[in-house]
Amino acid sequence: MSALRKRIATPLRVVAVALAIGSVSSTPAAAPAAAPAHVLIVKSDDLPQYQQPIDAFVAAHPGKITTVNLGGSKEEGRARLLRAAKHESIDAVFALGAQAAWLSREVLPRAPLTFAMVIDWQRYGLGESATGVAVELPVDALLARFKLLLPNLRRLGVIHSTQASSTTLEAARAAAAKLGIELRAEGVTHAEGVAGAYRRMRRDIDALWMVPDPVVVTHDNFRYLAERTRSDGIAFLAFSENFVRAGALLSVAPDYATMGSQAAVLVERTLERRTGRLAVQDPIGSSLVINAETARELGIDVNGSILRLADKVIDEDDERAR
Amino acid sequence: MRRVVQLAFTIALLGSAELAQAEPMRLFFFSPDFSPGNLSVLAQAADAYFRESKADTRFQAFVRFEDFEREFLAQKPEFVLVPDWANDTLCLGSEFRALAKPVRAGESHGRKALIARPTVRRVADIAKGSIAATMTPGGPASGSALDRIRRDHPGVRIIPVPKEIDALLAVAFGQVDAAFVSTGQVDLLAGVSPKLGTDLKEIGYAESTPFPMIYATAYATDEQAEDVRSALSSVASTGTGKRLIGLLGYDDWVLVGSAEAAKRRTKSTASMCGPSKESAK
Repeated sequence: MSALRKRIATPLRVVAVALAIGSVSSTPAAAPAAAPAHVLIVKSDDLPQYQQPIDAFVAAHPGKITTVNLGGSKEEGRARLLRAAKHESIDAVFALGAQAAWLSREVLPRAPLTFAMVIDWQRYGLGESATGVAVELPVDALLARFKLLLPNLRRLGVIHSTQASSTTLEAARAAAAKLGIELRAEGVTHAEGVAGAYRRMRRDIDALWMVPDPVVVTHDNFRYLAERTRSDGIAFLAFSENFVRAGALLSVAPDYATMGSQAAVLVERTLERRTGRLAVQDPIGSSLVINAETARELGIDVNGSILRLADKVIDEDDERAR
Repeated sequence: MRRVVQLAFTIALLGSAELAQAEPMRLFFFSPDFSPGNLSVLAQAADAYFRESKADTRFQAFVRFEDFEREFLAQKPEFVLVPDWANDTLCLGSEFRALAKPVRAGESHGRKALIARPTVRRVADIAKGSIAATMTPGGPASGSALDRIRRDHPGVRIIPVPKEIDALLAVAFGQVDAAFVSTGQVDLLAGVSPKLGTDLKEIGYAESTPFPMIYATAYATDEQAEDVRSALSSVASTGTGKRLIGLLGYDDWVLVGSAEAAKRRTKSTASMCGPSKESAK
């Protein structure tokens, strides 16, 4: 597997793992809690992505915390959860990952549940019995960040599979219009259609937005789009730092640590309320990563305001000079 | 024979003096408003600029103030780039002499304010709400405006975010009740989307603070301080210099005159720091 393929494979693997988890049984939450609250942190597996929200949660939560790692196994995970609940009184659960959220709901139905790091959380019915922080940035906030980074952005292209929700696309179109951006969308039915879709739109766009669509995002498609956008002078906007390291101009992704801070507030508020359920929140922190080499090729001033917004600037030239 | 030995000894001394001079100076950096993800790129840019300016200085950046403080005491750097409260609040035991101050849009101060949506009229309206803000690990600095808000309204929850623009977008899109950010950020947002910018308003707790300055510490000689001052005087006129100040978020660095430098001298005070290390001995 090439280095490029490895870089792309990571986020896709995360998506695949999340989608592989089954449906969810929901139980109403009721939360008698005594201060200081004892929170059980449950993580689906030992993924490094979970550590940032856990650290932020621990820093924000004043009470006792116990952590359980389900180890990626449903049966062993259930046993570990039961052991933890048997020996300790649990006031609330903070679950990371779909499996952790689902099993926590099943094994500890009376403990208020707050989740994070669950891709497409609506699929699991979590909103009916739990609160949490979504893992996807809302489209309006995402496009606003694109516009802040690229103030001259007027025409944004997006290639999506035809199975993608038309509601999502319309929401994106409306959010773009509010920012003075015209969204040009091309639907494809299979991965091989991406190159043709790009060729059809390339003269009409300033930037190409790559969405986490498994039909569109393949190793070959990414390599093709990264090369062609650079030669066509089009900004290539991605959803993960790995793609920026592999040649995309920039990525905007949610900040995992902020999700942990948000979850800590949700747990606290849930315990204060004792009844009812708080709405699932969108993530508010973001991680903006820019490839300075690509920016220079596109004639974007990397010394200007773009740097003031970036969390990380990847500059191969600097690293070579060092 | 004796003359030959003396000559050799003199040459050796001169050689070691030259070697000592060849050691680069050190500039330590800490700012809670700077994104930790960019510290390595910032260090590369600073090293490149000072090398090019013949004031060879190694830039070392810190994410946590505790680390900065510990390494300052251990390594005794000649220069620091820190907020003005750094030496006043903590006990670094060295007088700082201001060399240069950063400028952005003609200002060397920034103002932070609590920004909310129009339905919120005062802080009491969000007494059980949430505020998004950037802050150092461990929470807002004691005595800061954010700290005052927290003390005055214990029900308010502060959510740390990586960048001020995250806080502002969170309030603009109704994800939090308020954002504590530099007022310039509102203009930045309004530039992109006038509606988003005008839908927000200041509800108070504004405070003006100077941008972090470059100081010479007690460990810098006058000659070293002059070398760095000289390097900083032309920072905006070279490509590497522009990159450095761009990364820091400024337009230029302006040298601090002797009168202002005297006013800007900072030293840890005995009342805050307890007995000095010297008096404790």
